[in-house]
Amino acid sequence: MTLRRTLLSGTAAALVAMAGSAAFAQDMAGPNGEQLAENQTFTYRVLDEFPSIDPNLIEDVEGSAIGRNLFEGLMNQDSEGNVVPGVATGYEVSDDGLTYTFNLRPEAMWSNGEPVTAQDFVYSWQRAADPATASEYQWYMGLMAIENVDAVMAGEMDPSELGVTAVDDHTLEVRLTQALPYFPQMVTHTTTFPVPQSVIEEHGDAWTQPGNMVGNGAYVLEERVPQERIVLTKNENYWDAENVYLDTVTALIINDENQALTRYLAGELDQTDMPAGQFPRLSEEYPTEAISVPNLCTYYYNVNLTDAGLPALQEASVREALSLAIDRDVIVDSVLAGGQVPAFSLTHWATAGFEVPESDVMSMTQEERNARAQELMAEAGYGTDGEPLEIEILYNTSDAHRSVAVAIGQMWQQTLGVTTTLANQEWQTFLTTRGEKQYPGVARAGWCADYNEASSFLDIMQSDSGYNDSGFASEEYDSLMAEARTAEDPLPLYQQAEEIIMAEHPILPIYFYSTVFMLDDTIKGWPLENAQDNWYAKDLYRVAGE
Amino acid sequence: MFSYILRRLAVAVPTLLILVVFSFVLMFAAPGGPFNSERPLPPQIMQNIEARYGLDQPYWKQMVDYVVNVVTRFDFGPSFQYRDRSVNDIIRQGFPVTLTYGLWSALVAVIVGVALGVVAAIRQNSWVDYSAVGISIGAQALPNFVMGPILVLVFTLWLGWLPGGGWRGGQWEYVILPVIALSTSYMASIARITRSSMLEVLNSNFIRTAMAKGLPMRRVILRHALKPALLPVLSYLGPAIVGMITGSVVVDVIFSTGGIGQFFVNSAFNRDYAVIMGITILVGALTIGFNLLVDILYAWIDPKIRY
Amino acid sequence: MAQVRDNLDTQKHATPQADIMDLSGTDHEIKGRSLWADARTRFFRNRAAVLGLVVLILVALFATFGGLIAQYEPQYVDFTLMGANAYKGVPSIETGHYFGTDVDGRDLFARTVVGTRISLLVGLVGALVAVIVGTLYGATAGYLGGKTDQIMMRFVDILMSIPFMFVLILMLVIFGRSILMLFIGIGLISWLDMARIARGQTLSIKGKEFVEAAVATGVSPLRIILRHVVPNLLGIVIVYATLLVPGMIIFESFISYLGLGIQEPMTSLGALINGGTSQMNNGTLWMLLYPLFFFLITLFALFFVGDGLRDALDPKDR
Repeated sequence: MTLRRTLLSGTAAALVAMAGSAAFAQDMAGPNGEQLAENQTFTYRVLDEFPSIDPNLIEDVEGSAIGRNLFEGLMNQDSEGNVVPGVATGYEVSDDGLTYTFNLRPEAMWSNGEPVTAQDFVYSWQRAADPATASEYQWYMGLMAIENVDAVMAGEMDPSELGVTAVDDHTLEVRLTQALPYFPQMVTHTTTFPVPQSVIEEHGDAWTQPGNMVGNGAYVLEERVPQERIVLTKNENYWDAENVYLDTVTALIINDENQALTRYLAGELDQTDMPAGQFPRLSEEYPTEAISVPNLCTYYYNVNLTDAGLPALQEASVREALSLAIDRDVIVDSVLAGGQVPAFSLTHWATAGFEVPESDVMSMTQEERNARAQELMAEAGYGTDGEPLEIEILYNTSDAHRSVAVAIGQMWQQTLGVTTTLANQEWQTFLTTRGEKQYPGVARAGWCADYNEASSFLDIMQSDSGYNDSGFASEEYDSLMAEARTAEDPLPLYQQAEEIIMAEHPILPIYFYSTVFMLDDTIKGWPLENAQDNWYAKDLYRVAGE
Repeated sequence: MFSYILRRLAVAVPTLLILVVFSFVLMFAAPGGPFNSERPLPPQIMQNIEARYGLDQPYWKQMVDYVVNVVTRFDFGPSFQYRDRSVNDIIRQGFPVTLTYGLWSALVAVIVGVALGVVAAIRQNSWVDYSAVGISIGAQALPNFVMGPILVLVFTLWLGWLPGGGWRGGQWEYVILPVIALSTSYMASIARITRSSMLEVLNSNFIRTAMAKGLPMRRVILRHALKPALLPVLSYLGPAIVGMITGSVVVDVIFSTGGIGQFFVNSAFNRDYAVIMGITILVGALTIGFNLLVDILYAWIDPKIRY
Repeated sequence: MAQVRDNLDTQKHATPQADIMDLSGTDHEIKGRSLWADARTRFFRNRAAVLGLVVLILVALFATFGGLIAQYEPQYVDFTLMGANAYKGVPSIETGHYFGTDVDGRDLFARTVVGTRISLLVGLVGALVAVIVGTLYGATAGYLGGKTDQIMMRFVDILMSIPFMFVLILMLVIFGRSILMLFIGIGLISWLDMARIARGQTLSIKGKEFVEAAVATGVSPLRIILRHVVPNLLGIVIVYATLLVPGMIIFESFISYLGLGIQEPMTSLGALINGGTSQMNNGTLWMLLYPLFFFLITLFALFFVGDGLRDALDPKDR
């Protein structure tokens, strides 16, 4: 094994010209008995340098993918997003749902050969919650409702008071302050992954550098050049290493998505995101490579309901008219054209255990919607024959958001006689403006589920939610959501809450996201059914091309 | 001469200080901080993070601390966005990349540009001249963010000769396309400058005398005309080299070379104050340095210049 | 920034303006022609420069009146063509989209008109700021001389050492992109070289008899600068300003590439070209070619006119 590994990592250095690398006369078969390619490498594109690859600090989607390959949490997700054993072989829940006991597999090892113990998890969780770590994902620990977590995060209590203990080397006990049915789903997130205490104490902040970094995932960090590449190689100490096929996983940092696409077509990449609007052409030319799968995110416009908003927008009928006049089919089919789905609700249709409540709007044709919208607008006394209305659409700078805003602005103009101005701001400025509700009209938003459950969407419209940028406040809504938290069957409550949103229109839902990308057709095992798009390199393999 | 250099260096210090203060003021005036995220952080967590980076201190203290750290320990502090590394790490990794293709570009631009300009001047008003002038104006006008993608399309996708981006420690095949994209417009400028100054020199009396004496053309050009004709090129080189380093903003984005330009743009968007400051100071110092170097060279070659 | 400096060699001619003065002085006695008439004749003898001027006028007409020919408003989105650009949005006389549609289904002809207008405006404003601020600043420094001159030019030195591309990016990111910010940014950069050149010229003009005569008759320094120094700088200033305009236009296009330039619904040639480049391998090449064509001919014309003016006003190069 050692010999093979050195040889292959040697060839991996010449990654771009990989096709003709040294041949091995060995019969390798994939998980389903496919003929595997000699070349077991995978190269994909990421947009920007990873802010961090320290599991406790990771804050972005692309960093999380690296985290899942370098580390392994208590639980993993399978190709459909279901929770499957990771370092833990399973768990028991107490009857009140407040205590979880995870049983860790004894064969799990760090890449330096040390065993992975329950103490490693305790250390990691305490570290993530510790104010001294200053993790931007600290709030995630709060979301998990672990005993004492709020006091620890506020610095009022020592991290050792956190409600997580190692009963023995292979048993981890977690005590919660409220029953969370989706708790096992939450420990598939990188913030909860174990980190090696001895290594961190030895190297400090530099522990994430190649050579220093020790992980318990299927891969180890081989090379990291900022703004250029990150290379992972197979971890032979991983407990399930014999079922890991790819030897090398490389992420190339490419800012420009069109350049990335050109380089994909030139064979330099195995996977890359697709620029908006190019899916129809690419899926025609490369039917086996252009892929579009649903993604648990909703794209919508916040309407400012606070005093800073336009007076006209405080009327629900005006908001309804604006919502009706958006031809969502044009947006998804023509503007984005990547398999997105028109949205009339906040919660994504593919959310586990959720059904979007029925509503007339969905069965209407766009002509009927437009007619109804014009009626509503005329009643309210705005638009073509009434008081002129000018609405500002605020979005964060990006070509795709601009295209959507341009189209919606024209739809309002052409259907309702409402003029629009477009305003775009840089991400950080945009977040401040929107967060402080300082926009006069509507502001673009996109929300992705943190875990596959309806409350992950609906929670954001509660009156005290940090992401409720419309300033929507409904006691009824809040009480429904509070009730749902402990309800046996929360679905009807979620649906009632959703119906409030659909009647009040504090937000104008536009579409449900899809993930659109190019994937080399020899790469197999991509979790297309996982609506959160959480992929694990250990599940991928490359079959021999014919 | 020596006192001139000293005087110039004395100006450099206040210049850099002004730059630091100006950038600091800009950043403090900015809406949106480095730690805004889609899900607003609870105030407690925000405080923890700000305390870690000293952002809870008064502005003047942050500025003084920063300057003291830079001056005494050459320490630009930690990056806010890229938490795994310090600004020093980022500059250490990114700057050699930028410098490598910047200097190669300068070399290519000078050699090709001067050759083109000299040939055009010698064959003034012939088709050689017209095509050289046409090419150089075209090259100067074509933005490199158009040329870059075209180069990748042709050399990577169609011909498959060169990689379409990346750096890999500066292996030659990764350097070629960025250098072409970056050097072209400077090459064109140098060609035009060389042409006009060469024409001027060729019309001057001492060259006419040399020609009249029957010296071979080649020799006259190389031995007598080239040196005075290149003086304006030299004075252009200072700003040009600096331009090539700032030009990396575009080249890095197109070719993913990982130079400081890419860090700068991303950090500006992410409000990563520490990285922005570090790179701004570095580029400011380089601008001063290269301009000084060129002026010294100029004085050395052309003793007529007085200080 | 650097692009605009390529004609610094004008600065290196010992004192071209002085030469012109001397020459025209003697010309005056013999032929009775003024400096400007002389320059005009020389300019119109230069075929490339005249061609450039004609093209420039045509481009300016297009930018000003092109909107009258356009069949669509620049903001109007043709939903029937959206997403089907590659085969429905192609340039065609019948649909009225002479240059086809852009990626958002808007008429590219109308947008090219707007973009050309904005790009020319950016170039002109940049040059105008340079001419006004740079000339006055340089002339004042040069005329007053001494300590004032030293301090004023040190200040220019300091500003020149600031990496303006970076500062401008920072300003645009932080204060939001607006046309005003862009003009401020470009204006900040453009006048520095002009100030240096104007100062150099002023130094040589200062010693001339007519200035000394004015000083002797007790004319105030401000008046001397405005009435006697600045008019005599005009030649070199015009030459340099013409060469500055293309530099400004190129600079704006860079800023547009980074997404920091002119914002929707307005557009510039740089923004249009950038949009076209991103669709380059999507089979809609016209989105790149039409704006690029206008960009290139405008720059070519400006370069030729600039060179022509320099040759005309600076007899050394004849």
